[in-house]
Amino acid sequence: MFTLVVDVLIFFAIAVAVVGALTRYRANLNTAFGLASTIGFGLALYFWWNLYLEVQRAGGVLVLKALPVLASSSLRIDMLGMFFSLLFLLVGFTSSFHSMRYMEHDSGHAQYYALLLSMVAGMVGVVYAGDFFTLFFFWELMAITSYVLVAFRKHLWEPVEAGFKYLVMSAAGSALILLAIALLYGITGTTDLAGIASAIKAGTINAELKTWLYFAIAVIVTGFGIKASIVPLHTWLPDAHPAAPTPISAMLSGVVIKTGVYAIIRMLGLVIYPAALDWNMVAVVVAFFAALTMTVGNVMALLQEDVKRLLACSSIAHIGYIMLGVSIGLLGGTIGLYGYTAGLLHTMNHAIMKGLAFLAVGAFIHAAGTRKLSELVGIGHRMRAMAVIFVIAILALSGVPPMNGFVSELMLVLATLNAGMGIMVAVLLANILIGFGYYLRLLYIMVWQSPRSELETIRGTSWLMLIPCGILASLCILIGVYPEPFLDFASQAAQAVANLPAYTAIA
Amino acid sequence: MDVYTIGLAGGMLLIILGIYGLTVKGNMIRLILSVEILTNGAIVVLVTFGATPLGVINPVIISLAILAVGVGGCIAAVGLAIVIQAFRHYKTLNVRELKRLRW
Repeated sequence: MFTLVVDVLIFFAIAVAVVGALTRYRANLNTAFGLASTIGFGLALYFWWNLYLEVQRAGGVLVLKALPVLASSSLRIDMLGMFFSLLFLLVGFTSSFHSMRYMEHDSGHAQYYALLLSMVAGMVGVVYAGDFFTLFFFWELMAITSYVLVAFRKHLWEPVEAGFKYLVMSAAGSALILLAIALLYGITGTTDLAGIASAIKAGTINAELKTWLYFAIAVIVTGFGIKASIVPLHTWLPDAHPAAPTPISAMLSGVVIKTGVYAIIRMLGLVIYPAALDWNMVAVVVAFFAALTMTVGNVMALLQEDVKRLLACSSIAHIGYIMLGVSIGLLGGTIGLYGYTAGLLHTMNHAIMKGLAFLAVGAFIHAAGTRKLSELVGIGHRMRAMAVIFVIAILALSGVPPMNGFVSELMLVLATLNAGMGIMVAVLLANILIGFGYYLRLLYIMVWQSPRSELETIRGTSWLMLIPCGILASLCILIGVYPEPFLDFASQAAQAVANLPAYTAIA
Repeated sequence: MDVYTIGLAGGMLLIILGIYGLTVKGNMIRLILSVEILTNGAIVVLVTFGATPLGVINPVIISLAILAVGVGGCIAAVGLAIVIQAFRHYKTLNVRELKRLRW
């Protein structure tokens, strides 16, 4: 119905939920649910590969309709969608794997895994959607499940409070997205993404409609920017991401905020881009907010005493780096293509390394039972294998050469230089240096210092946690030393953004 | 006044009311209501644009509006569930007193 990738995730979500409800008082199937969810993600990754080959055969864009009539829910899958959906499935797979051990003391496993699977199904649906009906449906599927997952440990005060804050802000963002859909429909008379692009390209946009289009762009960036946590809309993120269970934090920080970035790239870079607007001005405005986002994120991260909160704040900073790539992409031409490639490669790297950092920290928190940096002093000495993985993640985040973060940060600096944004190069480099400060502090406290006496009883790490972290850590190093295939994939996705004729070719 | 003016003005009024409620009100249930009003304002704008001058109504827009109404219900349900949990922890509905999280 919605490609096998989404269908298999929804199938497993329903199956886990139904079996969980039926066996609630009869049996303890917690491990089975975790295993089922992980298998579901594995199957989805396999179907993703099949779909990738199919999209390649179809020439880069694949159009699927739910019903064979003109106005119906449709999927329009291109390389940009394939790129993002791979990240979602990869981080979803590792989070689900990690949850099997992390959530062992919690109750409600069936609900947890059903919500996790539904959230990833929603995210994949968002990036495959070909019209606003499908996009809005999957967007809300993702959003509502993520509210519940943030407030999952409802017996504690922090998840409930953070969940409420997240719900109110994000639901207001959803309402703005609906307003943006209404405005774009009013301007062009269709909800189909390709149809909107064609209608805008046909040149029926007069001066009055242009004003409305600028207003629509503002509403789009605000609505999706709340999910992507662009400063000044970021206030929910440092509360909501640490409050969730750690595998969910890995999902939220690693990939859920990227759906907002995806939607901004899709709307501004492809759907509205053919309009004869002043795109240089829009690019400068987006670059301004990107600079604000990265600076505020980094400065906030410097001040944190809670390790998950620190990582969440650094996510804001990385969203700033990615948005800088997007703003360069809006300039168009080869400069823009390079900017999109750099931004998308950083999206991939950040998903992998931030997911890895959260999962590694999750292993520490699971063992030590605290999130405060002052109580996690020297925990790396007690969990040597996980400490190695944690060091890889933090070095990658800070952009040290043999890791993947370096490649994309270098590309971002080069793209900014290409675009001739001299000030932005200085802001970007200054931010990367600030980042160094708090990442090295994290390493010094958690890995370098000698352990506290309270942590003496901790010995080693579970294999169930080491395997998913190992997968992501090896990817971190692989992308760092051999970036060509990943760079090629990101460049294909960037070309899909720039290639409007191919996107609109099939009605 | 034609139907567009009335619909757009009404929708925008609801949106402004919703944003006003979100920024000014401190009661958690009122915040959920403000989100609902904001969503409903967007739905009104959507339906207004869906009504073409010929009187033909685009079925996609109507189905999208119905979907949005359902989604608004889901958000209210999840939000009120969280409000109940928050009330159990704090014994108050005033969101200004939920200040244990720093900025």
